[in-house]
Amino acid sequence: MAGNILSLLHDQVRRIWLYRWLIVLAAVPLFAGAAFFIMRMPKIYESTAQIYVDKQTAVAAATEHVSLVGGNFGSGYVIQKTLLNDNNLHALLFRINPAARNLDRGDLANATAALRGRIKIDPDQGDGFFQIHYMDTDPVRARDVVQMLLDGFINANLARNRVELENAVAFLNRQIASYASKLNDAEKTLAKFRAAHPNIVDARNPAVVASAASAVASARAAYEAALARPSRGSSGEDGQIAALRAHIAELRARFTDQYPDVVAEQHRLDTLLAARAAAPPPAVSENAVAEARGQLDAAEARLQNAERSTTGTALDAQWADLKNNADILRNNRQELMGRREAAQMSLALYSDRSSGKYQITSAPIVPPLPVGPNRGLYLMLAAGIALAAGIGAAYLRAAINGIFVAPRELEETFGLPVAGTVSLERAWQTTGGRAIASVRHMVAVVLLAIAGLSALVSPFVSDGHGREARVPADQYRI
Amino acid sequence: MNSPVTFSVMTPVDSGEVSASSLDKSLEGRDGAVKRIGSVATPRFDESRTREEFRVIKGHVMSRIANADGHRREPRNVLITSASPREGKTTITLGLAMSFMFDRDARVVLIDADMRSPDLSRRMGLEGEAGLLDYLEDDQMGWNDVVYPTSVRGVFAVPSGSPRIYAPELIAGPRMKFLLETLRQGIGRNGIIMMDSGSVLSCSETISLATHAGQILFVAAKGQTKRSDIDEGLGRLHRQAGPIDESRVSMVFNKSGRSQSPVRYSRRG
Repeated sequence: MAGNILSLLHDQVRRIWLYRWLIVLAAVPLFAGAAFFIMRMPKIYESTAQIYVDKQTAVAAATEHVSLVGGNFGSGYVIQKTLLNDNNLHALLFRINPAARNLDRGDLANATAALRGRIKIDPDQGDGFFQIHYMDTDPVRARDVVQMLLDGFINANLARNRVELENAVAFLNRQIASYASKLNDAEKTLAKFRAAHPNIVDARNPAVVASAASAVASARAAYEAALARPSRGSSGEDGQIAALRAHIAELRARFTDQYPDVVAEQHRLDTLLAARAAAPPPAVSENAVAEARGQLDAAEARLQNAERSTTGTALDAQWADLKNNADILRNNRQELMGRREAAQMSLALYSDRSSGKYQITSAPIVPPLPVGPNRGLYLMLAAGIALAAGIGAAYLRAAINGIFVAPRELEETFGLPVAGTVSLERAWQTTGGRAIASVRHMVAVVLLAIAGLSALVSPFVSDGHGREARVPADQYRI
Repeated sequence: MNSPVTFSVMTPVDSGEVSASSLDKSLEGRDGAVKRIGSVATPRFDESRTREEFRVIKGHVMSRIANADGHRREPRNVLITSASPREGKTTITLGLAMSFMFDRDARVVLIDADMRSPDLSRRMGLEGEAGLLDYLEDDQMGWNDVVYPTSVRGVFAVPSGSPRIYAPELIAGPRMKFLLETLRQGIGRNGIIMMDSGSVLSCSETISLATHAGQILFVAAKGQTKRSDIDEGLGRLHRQAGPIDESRVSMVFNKSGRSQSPVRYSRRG
């Protein structure tokens, strides 16, 4: 079985080999044409840029807990997903080629798709970096397109941040105005209530109670001090003692304890202290105690009066509700005002190009060497395809002609015996046969020479293509 | 030996009798002068493989003759033809003739019956000599007027003769049959008559010749002969000179690759 298959394969190879001149005739022009086309393909340059979206800039860190938004605010996720939508690409296309504005819808869609195919965005892998690549035959245009994409990305992010934060500020402004209005109404209600019930208004005030309690505590302390305070010595002795102590401290700062002046002053101080200690204790001042006692009683009475006024009546409850309501409104308004300030700070922080949120870590660059086309690979593919086409043509020709390549085929086809086979001897060929073979050989040689020459010459005529359609950069500079 | 000479040795036309010895005497022309000798040569025949390839074909032909069992057509009349031109009929004819050079008693008559392209006559150097068509037209000519000796012992040649537009009709006439019968007597039991004809599809006289042939070697060239042409050629033979079956028709696969040759010999002779 395997032998039969091999035999059949061998016959097919023989059949194709018989038309090798056709293989050359088909393959060489095909390859020459393909090589000419490949070598004339314009060089392709790839421009690349890299952006870093900082999740926590230094400025953001400085405003931490003050700024309205967190560190992840403004990440480029949405923009990098929407950067290549049709609207953005149309704008980019019109900048690259203003004539594209005149394209009909179908051509514009094709041009947009082609542009999208040349742009590649390496998404953020979580480290904050992502890259933009663009390939073009014109290196300057490649660089400019990447620059435009870069600017578009940053501006879109900043605009998005600005819009979000401005919306937040506007919302807070509306809320603050609303709370201000409510608070104003509450204050008016309180004023009316206070006018109608003046006594309740003061007593109800917890600050009054607290003030009364504080006054009681002060009066009690004064009373106890009056009871405990002895009237030892005169105020003149006390003054002397204090002056001596101050003088000794001054001397010690400059001299040692054995310095004569220090010793003398210390002796004087000891003497004065000993004399005051030896004197009999003075009697307690009755007047001062009585006065302190009276102040304490009065304070306690005011406290009892204030505390008694906070309990229980319907008016008190109504007053308390009004005050609570006003306090809540006031506090909320204060909080909203604080948040508005934070939003405005965030607006300044995240919608400013110089905030450092978006850093171009690698400006658009175009390597001097083109990235494509891979002429070697294409030439190999072209050679393979041309050879396959030639082989296919040869096989087709053999199949159409129905030629025989083995005596077995003759026997199987016609059912007649094969008396023998005679090998081909070139010397037996007639003049005509040799002439045909020579012509075929010559044609093959000429075609091979043409293919070789085209492959050699093409590189010298392929430079400079792709620049003809270049638009001056200032036409689409952002 | 470059020009024909007249002779007056034999008058086979009248007698219709010919023997092997008289065939050998065909060296002399009607006026007694020596005839031109045909050159039978095949390039590379010195190679063992080529010789063996033709020996195989010769063996096939001879076995058919030996095994003939009352066939209505003479198996020693071998027609060599093909479907279309340039497939190697003349080469096969010459090679087969060469293969008889080692058979002492064999006699082979080569008839160039390809009137469109008389390559056999040209290659044997008998172009322009009186030949088959002259004999068929001129009743006064004898068989020995058109039979020429060749450089190979036992091999004789009948060139095509002067071309005529009515050659097919002459070949289809009874004088052709008479010539074949006469020559067959001359070659004896071990001899054969090989008719190198034109291709079936291009020469109508080939069909006429086929009616006289007990064996037909149908040459097909590798990578050249188309199946449709062979189909049509065999069909035409079958309809007009049939029947065509495996006892009468054999294929010869010409111009094959050396690797396809059943004979495994080196190039050394």
